[in-house]
Amino acid sequence: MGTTPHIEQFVQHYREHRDSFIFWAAKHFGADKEEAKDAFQQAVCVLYEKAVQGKLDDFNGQISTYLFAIGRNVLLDRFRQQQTHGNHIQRYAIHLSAEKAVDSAQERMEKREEQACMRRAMAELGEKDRRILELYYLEGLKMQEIAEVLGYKNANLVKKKKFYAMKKLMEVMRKFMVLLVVF
Amino acid sequence: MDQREEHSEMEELDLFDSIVRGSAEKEVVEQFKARLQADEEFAQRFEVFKRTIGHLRENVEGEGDVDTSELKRRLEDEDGGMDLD
Repeated sequence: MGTTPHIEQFVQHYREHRDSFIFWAAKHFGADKEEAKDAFQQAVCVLYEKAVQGKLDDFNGQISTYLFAIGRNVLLDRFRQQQTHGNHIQRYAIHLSAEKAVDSAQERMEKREEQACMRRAMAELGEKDRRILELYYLEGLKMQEIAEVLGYKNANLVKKKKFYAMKKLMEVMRKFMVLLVVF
Repeated sequence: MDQREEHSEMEELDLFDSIVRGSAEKEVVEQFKARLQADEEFAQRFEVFKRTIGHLRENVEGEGDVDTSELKRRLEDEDGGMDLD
């Protein structure tokens, strides 16, 4: 955890960028002011959460880039739920959960072991590599946005770092799954 | 690992990413589904990918909730005088 950030600082970010976001959201998504305002409030709350968790300690980029990216994804999620946007693309949502049906004590033990292995593998990644995966897979940012937020030279560098980080984690998972098949 | 192999792995990861982010075109999705059915190793690699992302999510969600109620109240106050017509 980082030091507790001052709320006033985040109200200030909101004040500073809200109107630009509302204008941008209306232009690109046809969002009305209320929708845009709600999305941007959510984005500021996410930023606050990350700050409390100490994930902005080595933040090198533009706050506005991060806020706009989160706000955009909030709007996109809402539009998808309403099925009013993006119908030209065939969406293929996949439930990305590590959960699986656990029926027996043996399976519960295997699952705990799998979780422990993955936690160790994630801990071995550098903080920035973990943040890249988190920003890309959980917060939905684009490569260029991640580069700007984390202060990398370009999107290609981020893409490569993401690849190697994922490769490392997937290798651990693959070995674990092979072991389950063998025994 | 040679460069060609690495490039091929990167392309496969790009494909998986586009599928789970919902950015893949309909045609790509259809090809992907067909390959999942026909190619067991490919299906296994995708399963590994899915489970890895699932763990990533669990790991992040396990970091604890942050109370944002005070911030939300302040942001609402901030909009008190805003013209939202």
